[in-house]
Amino acid sequence: MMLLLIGLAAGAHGLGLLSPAILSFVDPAMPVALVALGTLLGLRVRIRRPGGWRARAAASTGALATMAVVFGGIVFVVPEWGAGGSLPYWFLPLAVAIGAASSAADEVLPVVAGGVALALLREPSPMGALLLLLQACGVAVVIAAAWWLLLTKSRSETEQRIFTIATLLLLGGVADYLSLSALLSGLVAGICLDLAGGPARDFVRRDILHVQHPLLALVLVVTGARVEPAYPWLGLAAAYLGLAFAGDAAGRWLAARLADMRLPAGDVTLLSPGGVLGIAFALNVLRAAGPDAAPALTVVAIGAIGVELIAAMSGRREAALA
Amino acid sequence: MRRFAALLLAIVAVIWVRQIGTSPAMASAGTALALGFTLLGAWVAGDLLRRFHLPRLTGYLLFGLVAGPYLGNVITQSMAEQLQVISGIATTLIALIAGLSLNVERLGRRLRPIAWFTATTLAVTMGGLFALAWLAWPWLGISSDASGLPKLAMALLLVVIVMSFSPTMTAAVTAETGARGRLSELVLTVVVIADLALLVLFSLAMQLARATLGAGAGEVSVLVRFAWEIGGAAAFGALAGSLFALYMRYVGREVTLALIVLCGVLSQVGTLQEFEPLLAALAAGLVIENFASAQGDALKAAVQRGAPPILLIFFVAVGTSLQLDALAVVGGLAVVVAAARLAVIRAGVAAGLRVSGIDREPGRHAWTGLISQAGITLGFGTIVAATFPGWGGELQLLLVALIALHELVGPVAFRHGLAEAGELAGQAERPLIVVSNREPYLHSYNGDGHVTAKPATGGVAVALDALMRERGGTWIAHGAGPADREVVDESDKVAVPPGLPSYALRRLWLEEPAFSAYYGGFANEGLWPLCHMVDVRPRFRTEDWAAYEAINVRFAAAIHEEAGADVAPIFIQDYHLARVAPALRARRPDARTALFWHIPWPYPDRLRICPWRREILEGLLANDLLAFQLERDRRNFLLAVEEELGAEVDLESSRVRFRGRHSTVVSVPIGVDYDRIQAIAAEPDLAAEQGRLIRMFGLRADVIGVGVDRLDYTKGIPERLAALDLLLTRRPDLRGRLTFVQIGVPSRSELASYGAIEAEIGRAVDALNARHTAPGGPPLVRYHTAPLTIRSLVALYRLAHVCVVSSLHDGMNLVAKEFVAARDDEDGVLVLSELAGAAHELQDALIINPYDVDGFAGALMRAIDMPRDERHARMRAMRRVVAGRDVFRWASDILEGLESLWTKPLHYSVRGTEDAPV
Repeated sequence: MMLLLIGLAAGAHGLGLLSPAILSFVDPAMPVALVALGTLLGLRVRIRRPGGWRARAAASTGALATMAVVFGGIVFVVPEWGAGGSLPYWFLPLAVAIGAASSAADEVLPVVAGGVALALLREPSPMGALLLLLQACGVAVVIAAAWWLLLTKSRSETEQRIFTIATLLLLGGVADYLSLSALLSGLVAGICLDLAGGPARDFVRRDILHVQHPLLALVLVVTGARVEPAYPWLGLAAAYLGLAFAGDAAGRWLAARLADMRLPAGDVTLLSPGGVLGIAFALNVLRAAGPDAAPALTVVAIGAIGVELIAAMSGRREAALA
Repeated sequence: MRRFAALLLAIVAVIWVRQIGTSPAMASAGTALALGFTLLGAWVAGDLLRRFHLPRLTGYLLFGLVAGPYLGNVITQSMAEQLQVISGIATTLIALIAGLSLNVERLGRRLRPIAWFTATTLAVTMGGLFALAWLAWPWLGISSDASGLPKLAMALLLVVIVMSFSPTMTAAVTAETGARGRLSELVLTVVVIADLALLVLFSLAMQLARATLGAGAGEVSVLVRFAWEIGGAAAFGALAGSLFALYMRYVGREVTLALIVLCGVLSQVGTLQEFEPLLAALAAGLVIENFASAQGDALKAAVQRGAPPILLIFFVAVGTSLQLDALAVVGGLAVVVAAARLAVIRAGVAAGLRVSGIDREPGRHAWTGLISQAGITLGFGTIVAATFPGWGGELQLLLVALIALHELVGPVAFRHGLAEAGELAGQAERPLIVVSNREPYLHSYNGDGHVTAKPATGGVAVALDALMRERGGTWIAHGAGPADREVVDESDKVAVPPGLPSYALRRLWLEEPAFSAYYGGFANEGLWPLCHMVDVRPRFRTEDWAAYEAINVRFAAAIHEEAGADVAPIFIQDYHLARVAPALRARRPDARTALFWHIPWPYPDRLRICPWRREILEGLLANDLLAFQLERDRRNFLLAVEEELGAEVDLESSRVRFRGRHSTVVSVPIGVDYDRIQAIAAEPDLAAEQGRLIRMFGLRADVIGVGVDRLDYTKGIPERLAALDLLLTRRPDLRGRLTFVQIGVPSRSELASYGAIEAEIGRAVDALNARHTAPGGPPLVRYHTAPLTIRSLVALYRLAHVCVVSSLHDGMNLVAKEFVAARDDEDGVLVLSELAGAAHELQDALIINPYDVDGFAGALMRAIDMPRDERHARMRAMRRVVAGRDVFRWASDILEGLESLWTKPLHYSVRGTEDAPV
């Protein structure tokens, strides 16, 4: 939260230290940061959770429910949001809904949903979008294979780090170039590396964890700087906050019913406090969809700040992290 | 092959993506792709050239050239432009690195001669080049019909610009190669001072040219503008550096991000191409290094980790920006001018060395660092072309061609020069000086009265011996053998190893009673129990301390004699020699010393027992590098120096600053000679040795356990025997089926505490055997007090089902690792005390607490009953750990840390959590 607020204070609507010119300078680093997040996610996908597949299915259902509640609520509250611009009417509400669902116990489904959404944005036809998505995943697999080849016989930590940075840049660059989801590219690459196993997986994990924190900090500060605190968006953010909580509650209830157990709050071991994934996705949307998607980023960012504040006050965050 | 396959896959991915087509929402889409491909391709190219003994950075340059927009166009023009943006940040980072390596205190003494050297070199080179330019003017293709004053003005401008250097390239080559030494320092200082002077000369030449050629009337003096901008850049850089140091000290979070921001800000300073950002970053680095050294060390470590990819991108960006079309037009002329420039530079350097008095070695290689040209030259050319559109454009074309040539050749030449001067990281190693109490070879008389040499046993002595065989040098140790004096020469030296000498062993004769007071008294009755958490009170006596000091001074004197004029690295061993470094430094301030403290380091409260703890701490901090076994020991030491001495400690970089000196404190767990043990284990006649041991110890039992120890109260042998007692009480079925072989070599028996433990162990063994030996059966414990050779030990380890290490407190305990190394059959169980250092690494052993007899006995039971699969899995995991860190790697890591330029954080991750200070 602090970093978001720092970005907000330093951004164009605050002190102006992070002007649009400076932000455009750091923009190329954003996809890389998102790919790194996605890769970490992919490396963790096969880790068995308490409750097994039932818990996983329940978590996914919960995330879907959250998305549905938030999406439906936003469309109901602001049916014409995004209409008239270059984006389809459903895109911004969906982006925001995916952002809300990213705080849920299932992190994978929102990433996949986000990837599909961005593909549909680029290729309106479902088949075209599917083909594009498959090609993007194919490219990610090819790059992951190159990554594995490089790391398995690498000799030194310097070399491993260079290979990891290079591959993250390639993956992020591909997603950026195609205006698709960098999180999804990273997820696919991470899953491939996890399946391949061996020392390559450990090296990647080590090096990404090493750069993760500064990259995350950069993501949050840049997001804060790009927030446009106009009254309509603040109002929408408040609505989003309420819908996010409602969606989260609905998702948990549904998941608990399905799995007949209490879901954990989500393993936040590797990621920063809950909501970063949502923010990361919103930033991805902004890069891919252009300035028309800026309100989505604003809503998600302010919503995240709100969630943090409320959670801090209620002590829920400590319990969730414990 | 893998790398080429990976590069091929990356190319396939890039082509595939380009075929899909872009829909960029932002102009910078594609930057990340360009960067990623650049990093990968350039690294592979550099790797390829390295195989042909060419420098890596040539590979980076050539990759940029071949893949860049002028040739392959894999990196397109827009991608190349985006790389230049990154290159700007790289320039400031490189300059920051350069600033961090310039120590004013060290440079201060040499600044005057360097200034003279620079002035003389410049004067001679410019004079020579001017004369050549004047004579060859008609063929230079720059206003060839000019004469008189205009020709003079143009020639002056030409000479000043052609003579300019590239501090960025110099710093980049130094950083990329990890070079350290007088040559790299000299060249970097020279190019910065020279370019500053050339800036002044350029502005004066511009004034003259304007006056004689009638251009640019009414402009503010270029000199004034330069002075303002350059002074401002340096001041701004100093301010930025100070602020950054404060941030590091009081906040210290997100260092990498803050560094990127700093470089980003500095890269925007000024307008004069790269020189002002470079000056600003240099000033920032200088301020941090010289006024906030703890922060500078932390920053250096962070930069060290992040610099390689940045440097790589820098060189590739240089490659992509080389304008080959200029070379195509005026290439021939550029080659001639470059050759002339090189010749006058060499002449200038020779003259500079004579006038300044700088050492000819390595000064004579300085010319290699003065070849590169880059942004400053280009900047000058741009200004001239803008001011004098006609001939200025012709000059600019020539300069562009020259820059292309010099950027290709310069870094390679400088790297060669650094190699010739012996300043490259990882270069051919210098001879070593090893210092220890115990000698590697002991000469004694055999039965026939002949003198024989016996090598010391123990992993450390073996490893250091192997290292000395490779490096050469001198090993200084106490001569303890009965026949040692017989074999040394007049300087108390003998060439070893016997038969194939490769280094010298210098013996010190330590007479009684001083030796007993130093070794038995202070070292083994004082420091040893102080540092081990066992129930033996340390004893400190004033006369023991006096002897300890005196003998350490004698070791220091011996090192000083042996080192001579060389700056050989000095590797000191263990707790006996904690006061050698300060005594040595009083004689040789520039000595490079490392000390490895083999035993544990006590927590601060326990350390206070020692009345001379401050002197010990100061003595240790007089070393450049101080290494402990475990992270816990390192932390305890850092706490101690902070509390007792008020030293400035930077935990992140492992550096301690005390009385104006820096010491690096690291943890490097020692290993065993894994390959040698493997070789012994694979010997065909090892089985015969095993047969001999079986007969010797009467091993008829189904289950054989082994323990190998020096008889020391820290080894937990009575506790081990108590656990065996409890085991047999609970499992009487094991009587007759289990035999435990305890090898216990007497040590320091003259000391009361050692004599007592020996007696206790003897009694315990007798009692155990009396209680649990089946009638007519073999004794439970076979107690053997003579040392075994390594070969016999390996044979014994391979016979054993269980090996027990039950130390009450141990720095490492190599027996545990030797047992694991010996078991290439991946069988056997190691029962290991959690209070031994080895337990931090060998967590697949059965870990016990020797004070918990019940648990200890349970573990023994578990070891005996352990299924084969589990034994294999555990041993396999432990063998990976032991093989990965053998004793040679330990020694070379420490010496690399001592000899390298940068702080090298030698943190070795071991599984499990780090324990709190004891």
